[in-house]
Amino acid sequence: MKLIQASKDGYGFEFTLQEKQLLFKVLALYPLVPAAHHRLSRAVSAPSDENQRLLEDSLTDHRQETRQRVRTLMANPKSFQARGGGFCWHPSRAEIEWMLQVLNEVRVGSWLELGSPDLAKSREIISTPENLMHRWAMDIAGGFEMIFIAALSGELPLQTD
Amino acid sequence: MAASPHPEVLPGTGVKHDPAAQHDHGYLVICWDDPVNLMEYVTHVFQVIFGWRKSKAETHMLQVHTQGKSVLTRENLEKAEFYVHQLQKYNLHATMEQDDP
Repeated sequence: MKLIQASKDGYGFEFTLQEKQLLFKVLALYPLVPAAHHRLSRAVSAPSDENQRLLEDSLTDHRQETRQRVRTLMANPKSFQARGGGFCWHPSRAEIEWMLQVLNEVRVGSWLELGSPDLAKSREIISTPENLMHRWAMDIAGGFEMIFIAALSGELPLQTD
Repeated sequence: MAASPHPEVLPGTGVKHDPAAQHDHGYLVICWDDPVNLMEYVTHVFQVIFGWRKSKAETHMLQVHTQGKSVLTRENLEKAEFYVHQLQKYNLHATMEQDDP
């Protein structure tokens, strides 16, 4: 995966077929995090249950919009345009921020599916046919996150040749 | 690193609330440690949502990592809800807690 453009007008990334397939497999898992996962507060008294419900409603709406946007991105051949055996994606900065939210939702959701393990003790995670996809998705999503963050921060070198 | 990014959204458009629930003491917006969010990711999200320089965002990220939590800001109810909502859209473990008088 190469960064081929980074300017105020937007960014450009070049993917191999395999990289695009990896990204799309991760995106296809969205959404994974349950709406009730996030709490407005740890306190018992305040804010009210009503505020918690409104937060969950808002996050649910956000997730539905995002799921539709993910589907559109994956279905539209103009999103990732074929070029020289690979594929180019030209997102704005805001679109990369959106992509980061999607990738991290899959990463956190996969971690929840694995039983919220302590990743510093990854040997404690026993691979099974059931959890293999989530272990894989968690790692791949994190890898893409790092690349996009490096691009946004100017730390990923341009490769225009 | 490139210049700190600007917040992509402005406060005041977040979750609706009951005005009667507001009080004078304010709310702390807290980010809690978890084993899954990458350190670079947490730093990036703090920069985007609060418009902080990278050094300040890293300070808070390290506080989360080493002390289990970091108080990111103190706001009234509406703004605190807004920031918690934004942080949770990025799937950070964030809550708002009533500040002690």
